[in-house]
Amino acid sequence: MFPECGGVTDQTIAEQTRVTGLVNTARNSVGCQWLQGGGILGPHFSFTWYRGSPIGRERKTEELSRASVEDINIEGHSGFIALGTDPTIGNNLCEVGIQFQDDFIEWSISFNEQPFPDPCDVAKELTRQSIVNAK
Amino acid sequence: MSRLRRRALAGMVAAMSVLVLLTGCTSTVQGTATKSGTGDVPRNDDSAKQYPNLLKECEVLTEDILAKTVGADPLDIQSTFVGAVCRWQAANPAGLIDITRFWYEQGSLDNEKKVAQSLNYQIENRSIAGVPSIVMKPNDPNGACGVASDAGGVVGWWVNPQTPGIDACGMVIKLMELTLATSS
Repeated sequence: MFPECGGVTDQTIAEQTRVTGLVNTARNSVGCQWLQGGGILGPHFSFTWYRGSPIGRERKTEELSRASVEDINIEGHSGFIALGTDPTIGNNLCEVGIQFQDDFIEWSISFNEQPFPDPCDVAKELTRQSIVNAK
Repeated sequence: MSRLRRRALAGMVAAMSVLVLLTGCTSTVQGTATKSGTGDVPRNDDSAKQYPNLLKECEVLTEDILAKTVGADPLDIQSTFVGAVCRWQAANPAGLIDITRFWYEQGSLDNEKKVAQSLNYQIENRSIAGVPSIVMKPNDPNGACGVASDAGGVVGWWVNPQTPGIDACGMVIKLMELTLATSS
């Protein structure tokens, strides 16, 4: 069982992403989404808990869309890490999916303007915290 | 998966939408209908398997219908996340509304109930379009409300308003009625 937002606080999201004015706009049993000022024009960050849903399908979607998708293991749990590149601002997007039996969780980190920290460092750290927070 | 605003993906999605329009209306498939998730389905499919409807599944209801149901202009809705979980944001005159749709094809209504209980949500059992369902209410100042129904595994909707005073439960129930009507 994961707590809401994978147990990650709004404050941790702000610290990790270094983005100010984030609003948690979709906090529910599926996950959470943080948007700057609550609107869609800025960066997008989200946690999603897929219950009884194949990680293979999500990975396939990533493989069709992203610059690279590789295997990853975090805290002893395996999954994928997908990197997205924007032609003007570079590697701005990273998504980490980790399997738990029939479920998987996904952290999605997407920046829209420079400067920003390495999105995969952010995604990996938030994933690590969520795994630790699971009951 | 985050909905990228890159031109390449937008082009791909547009092309696939056209394909869906061209092929989506006239096909007849023979056989016996079975509930998704039953039978010899592997618990976690290998990524090499083919999933022809990868990006289509967020379009169970069109964005026009979504926008109208939450009181927004059809031009004021935007997809932000796609896959087995889809998210949109729509502009109701009273404030922004985030919509989440989930479809856990190997999940169950019982499991959703357990998760909702563990999150201390208020849960109401009810039938929607004749399908066993639950309505979930977190302790949210803006009145967020969710619904899950025992269909195709488990399917559900959440409406998270960014301001109070919006009938989120009425909206998710309407969205579910529309979903169950179109998935027969």
